[in-house]
Amino acid sequence: MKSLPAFAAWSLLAALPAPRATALEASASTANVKVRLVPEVLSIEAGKPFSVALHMRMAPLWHTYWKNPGDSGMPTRIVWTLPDGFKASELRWPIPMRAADGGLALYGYEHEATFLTEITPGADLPKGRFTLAAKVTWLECKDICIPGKADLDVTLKSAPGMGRAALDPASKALFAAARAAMPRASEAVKASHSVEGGRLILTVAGPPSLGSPLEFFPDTAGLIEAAEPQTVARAGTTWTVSMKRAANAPAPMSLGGVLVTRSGSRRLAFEISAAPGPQKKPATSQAK
Amino acid sequence: MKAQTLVRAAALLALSLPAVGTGADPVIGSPAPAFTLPDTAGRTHSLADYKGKWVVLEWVNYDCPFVGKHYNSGSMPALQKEYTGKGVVWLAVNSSAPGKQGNFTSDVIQSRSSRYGAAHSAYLLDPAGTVGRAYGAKTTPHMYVISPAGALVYAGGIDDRPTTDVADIQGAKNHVRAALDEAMAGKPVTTPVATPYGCSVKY
Repeated sequence: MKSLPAFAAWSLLAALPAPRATALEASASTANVKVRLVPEVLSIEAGKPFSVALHMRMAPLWHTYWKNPGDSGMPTRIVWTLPDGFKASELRWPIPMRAADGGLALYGYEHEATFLTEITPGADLPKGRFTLAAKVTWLECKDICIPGKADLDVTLKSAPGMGRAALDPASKALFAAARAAMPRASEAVKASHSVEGGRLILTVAGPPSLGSPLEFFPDTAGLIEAAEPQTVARAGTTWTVSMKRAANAPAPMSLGGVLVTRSGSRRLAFEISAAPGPQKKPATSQAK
Repeated sequence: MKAQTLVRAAALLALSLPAVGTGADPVIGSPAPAFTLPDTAGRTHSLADYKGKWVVLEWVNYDCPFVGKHYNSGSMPALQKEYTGKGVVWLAVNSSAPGKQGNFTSDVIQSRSSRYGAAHSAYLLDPAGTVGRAYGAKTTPHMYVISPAGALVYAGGIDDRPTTDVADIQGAKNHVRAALDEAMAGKPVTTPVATPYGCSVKY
């Protein structure tokens, strides 16, 4: 089971419309969504974190939701049941998209999306098999919404030194694509926010790869009118994004979310954590 | 590539439909927007008719699973019964457009309401979505509480568990109950705004 069968398997996989299941993964389907739980490693070691992907494939025109679903909907959620001593990170969400929904707007995913969780086994890990169980719930919508759920589990062996070497190409490609679709955490991004009347203003300095178009997705629901266009302005390397505040919205203390731009045909996003900045004076009063 | 499909769809839809919340959505403490709508029995109801009473507006779509959670469990009918029993006027409002989910004939609405044991004061029909947009109603359910003076005292979700799971009703904080109890006792409402959750209103 070295290079030849692996290559044969890969060419077969490449010819298929959807990635073939690996031996270790678990999957389930509803009428419109197929979910797969795929570990990045074939075996685990004490204290060494590894990733597990939740891949969701939506039927054409169906969508699922981001952690802030926008005006309606429900975020996808994973509740883990792990062996003693194991820890799961918070779910990492790929860059969301905004779509109109009858004068409302939703934040979510069409076609497919891969979510990542980092699992860390305990520092003291005996030899044996360990089952990671994920209870996944989501809302699938296309004009109408249907709740979806699946219980998925994968079992991994503890075997020091095995590492991730034996990961199959399809899984490798899945994780590479998942990481490429994640917002980036960049220390070069300096952000602050302010409230000016009915507008919430996000001010971002750098990085150079910020460009037009630019759109902010707040990670908390109810702060802005998601369906309203955002106004973007640039002064040197500083960008401001002005958003219509939702009626009755509180002025946020810290404003978190992702700032999405485009580089060629690729969508690119930065994680934003904006502290309250100085309230801007109207430009006219500053000039005099 | 795939992103473009959604973006394009968004652009097309944005042209054809006004954004909900474009106008001046009602602000807590301000007058709730006036309206006149027919109910399923053909009677018309104006908000002005209920001056002097506490009014609850409940955006509803019986085929939405979030609404189903609160009707199949009996929790919404029980809340309606309890507070209409205390003199509150409870108006269910349906803003589903013709041909969209939840837009039923009055006969179907009445038979489903009675099957659920619904105890609203009236079930109002807003197929043009005018009243829904005036209130900035985004989800089903989306709840509003209006004071006897006509001021908005609560806007938001039915409770703090944004799921479709009936098991989550137990232990949830019902924001409408809390707002009504406080406001009717003459106290300030601790949580006058909460994020609404549910299906989108089918404008």
